[in-house]
Order: sequence, then C-alpha cells, then structure tokens
Amino acid sequence: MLAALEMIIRHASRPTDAERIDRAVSSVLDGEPAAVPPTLAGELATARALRDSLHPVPPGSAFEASLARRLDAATTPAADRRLMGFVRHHQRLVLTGAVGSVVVSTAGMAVVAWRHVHRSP
Amino acid sequence: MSELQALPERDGARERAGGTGTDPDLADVRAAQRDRRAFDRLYRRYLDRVYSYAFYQLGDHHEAEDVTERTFLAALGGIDRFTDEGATFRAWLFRIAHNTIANAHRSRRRRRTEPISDAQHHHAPGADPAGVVARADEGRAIREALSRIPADRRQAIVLRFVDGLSAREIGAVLDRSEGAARVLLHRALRDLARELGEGSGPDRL
Repeated sequence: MLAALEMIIRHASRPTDAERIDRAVSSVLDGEPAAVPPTLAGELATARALRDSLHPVPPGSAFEASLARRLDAATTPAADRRLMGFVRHHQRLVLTGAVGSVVVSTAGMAVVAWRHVHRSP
Repeated sequence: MSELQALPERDGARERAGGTGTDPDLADVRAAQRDRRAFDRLYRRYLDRVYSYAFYQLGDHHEAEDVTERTFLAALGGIDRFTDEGATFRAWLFRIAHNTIANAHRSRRRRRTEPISDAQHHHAPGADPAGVVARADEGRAIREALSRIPADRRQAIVLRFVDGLSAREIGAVLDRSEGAARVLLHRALRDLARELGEGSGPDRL
C-alpha cells in the first residue's frame, strides 16, 4: 500500500515531457547547454534551429516614424495640439508679432525714460 | 471585436494572466499612466516584437503595419486600465496584438494567404557565404514549415522564440493556463520536427 502510494507520488512529481522541453527551450534561448531524454531529441534540435532562424522582423523606418508621430499626437491634449498646429502653420506671423511686441515695448519704455529724464521742473 | 476586449482584468483570469510579480516594464508603465508621453519608451522597446508577431501570423508587411498601429494606439488608449495584478505589460500588449490579428484574419478570410517566406535576415558582416546560404535555406524551410502548422501552435512558437515570452505569458496572451501553453509549445515543436524531418518518435501527446 505504502509502496503504491510512493510510486504514485513519485510519478506525480516527475516533470512531464512538456515541462522538460519548456525548460530545455529556456536553456537554448539563454545560450546554455540543454539536455532532454532521447525521445525529445527531435524537439530539442528543432528548438535550436528555431533559435538560429527566427528573428524579429523590423518594420520600415518610415512606418516607425509615422506611428511615433501618431502616438505623439494622441498623447498631446487637443487644445495644445490646436495651438501647436496654429504655431506651425503661422510660424512667420507669430515670430513677427513677438518681435514687434518686443520692439514696441522697448520703444515705449525708452519714451517713458526719456520723458522722465527731461521732465520740466 | 474591440482589441481591448477580453483583456485580463484586476479580479478575473489571474491564473491565466502571466503575472510574475517581477514585470520589468512596470516602472515605465507607471510613468506612462502619469504622463502618456512616457509611453514612447514602451513603444520603442516593443515595436519590432509586436510587428514581428503580426508579420509571422499574417505574412504581409502592410497588414502587419496596420495591426501594429492598431495595437499601440489601443495600448496607449487603455494604458490606465493596465494593472500589474493581472498580467505583465508585455503579455497584456501581445494580448491586444493577438485580438487585433484575429480581427484582421476575420476581415480577410476570403483572401489568399501568402506563406511566410520573405522575413528579413540579419547576417554578420564578413560571414562565410556558404554558411549564410545554408542558414538562409534552413530559415526558409523553417518558415514554410511554420506556415503549415495550426495557427495557435504557430502563435506559441513565435511568442516564445521571436518575442521571448515565457510559457506563463504565452498562456496569458492565448487565454490558456501555463500548463496548457507548455503542451501547446511541445506539440508545435513536435509538428515542426516532423515537418523538418527531425521527428523523434511516434505521436506521444
């Protein structure tokens, strides 16, 4: 009875073929030596061939940049996007306006300073 | 079906969700949840792998681009819903890709499917030409064999060997337990071994 129970426990704790091959695949992918029973040798050889032959396929750079732009647009709040769009489309106008504003402010300050200096007693 | 549908939620399907307790992307995910501009790091990290997963399933660069775009836009839109109690970020991301690919398959059911044969190769500069040719031939044979095995087995192989997911994460992507994902991988390897003439015995599963 005890012997039968021991046999059942031993059998239950033994790794299945799927677990053995999964462990071996992890080793293969990590570049470490892997060993499996002879009955799984074909699967292990296939795993090694897959490691050497299957690689990530990079997308084209134009697609990568285009999707990055779309994601960037999706992360920016709508109001900011509108403002940035306006600035991009009217960059010269905005720049002229900003420079003009600085010039007018500076001139105004100069006039005020001049009048302050030349104020009649 | 929405790509975000049927994703593992906080209290559901935790057993099949691929959570490991050590998600290497968690810090970047938290950053992206605070400020979506930080999603760019995750995009750069997973672009090639998501695209490859789509390409190996669909065999068409344009469709792979479409799936990749939908996947990342859906992931960005749903990043606030991601919780590390369910799945790792990459299992969650590939689950979205998996659902998007399923939708693509449905929409092109009547169209002809090209075998996966023009995946790009990467050779080291100065590599032995004869060796390169032999490896290219082997690579082509493997990709053709891959296109002949059932879709779920192909998905498991690509997720394991191209995208580097664990059996637990593959289970999360394909909505199976970790044990079932291991059996799927074993069956896929056995099928491929047989296709490539490396079979090691009779059907054991």
